[in-house]
Amino acid sequence: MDSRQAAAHLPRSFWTLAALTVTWWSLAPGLYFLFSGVVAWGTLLSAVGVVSLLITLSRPILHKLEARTVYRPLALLFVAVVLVMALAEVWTAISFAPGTAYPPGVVGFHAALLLVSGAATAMQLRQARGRA
Amino acid sequence: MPHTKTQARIGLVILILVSLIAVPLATGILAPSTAAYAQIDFTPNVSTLVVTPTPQGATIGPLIRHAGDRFQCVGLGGVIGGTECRPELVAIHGDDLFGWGEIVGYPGLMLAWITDETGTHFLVVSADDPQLTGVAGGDSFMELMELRLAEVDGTNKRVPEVVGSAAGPVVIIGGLLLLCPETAGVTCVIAGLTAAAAGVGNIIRNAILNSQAQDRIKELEQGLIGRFHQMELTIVNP
Repeated sequence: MDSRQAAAHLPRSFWTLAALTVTWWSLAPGLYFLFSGVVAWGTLLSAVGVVSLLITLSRPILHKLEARTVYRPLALLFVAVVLVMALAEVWTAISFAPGTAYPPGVVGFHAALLLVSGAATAMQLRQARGRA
Repeated sequence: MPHTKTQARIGLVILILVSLIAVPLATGILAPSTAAYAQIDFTPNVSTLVVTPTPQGATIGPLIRHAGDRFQCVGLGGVIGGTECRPELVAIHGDDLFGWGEIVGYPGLMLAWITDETGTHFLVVSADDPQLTGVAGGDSFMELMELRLAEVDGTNKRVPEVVGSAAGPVVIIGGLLLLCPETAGVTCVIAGLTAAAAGVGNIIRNAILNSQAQDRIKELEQGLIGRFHQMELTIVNP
């Protein structure tokens, strides 16, 4: 595929949802791990989550992202990876968490919201393609 | 505009270089801990012990002061087998299911407990009982507990690693989406796919390790139950 043909502008709603997904993915478990004493993962995920939250809340950054031309298959890959990894986390909640200190319900809830936000992001991408 | 694109490309190259280090770190591939867990090769030889069910009529309640005292808690509604009546301990080595600890106010006495299908059973043991502290072959109650705790601890560490392994590729691909110039799209997709493959690979690796750990934990718990019953038989019916 010619990269010029695959280039596209993505709407602000896509960027907001994508940033929100990354925020929820990293900040929620990051803080949970920090309070559970898992410092390394907690710090890493929390730091990523804070940066992502800033992007989510920053109008100027979202405005710049909206004006930016991106490679559409990369956006598609982002959505696909979000959905696949969210399913992997659902599986973690079912198979891993019961034998550990982590409540399966908490892990499952986190993964379920990721699936929802991933699906919403995918819909935004589809709508953007329809408009293009 | 060309200047901006050049900057973006430099940024992308840096990001990919950083990813080469960050992905293995974020996905735990370089972490020695889980590999170490996988190397534990333990076969308890307690399975050959004669295991006799705890006789009925054991002391029920917290009034325990002598080695050999054994009891089960009676909860609300007469439900037997909880941990509510466990006496105060200096420190708990284990969890509610399996463990031991020195009884507060009785320096020479330890409390050991195991959980089976009939609930949690407690036994007061002398602190110098070799079956509790150390026997030839290394299958004392304390040693088995240490191995079990190490396995449980390893399993606990796998959940953050799996969550991190799943988050890593999403964050990296999100970063590529933010910074990648459209002209380098294919390169960025390949970088993203590599990150995703590393994340999925690490999740699968952790699943295999977790399955092995669950088997070892069950095996160790059977060993603990066997050792507990042998302590009962030795102390109560010497």
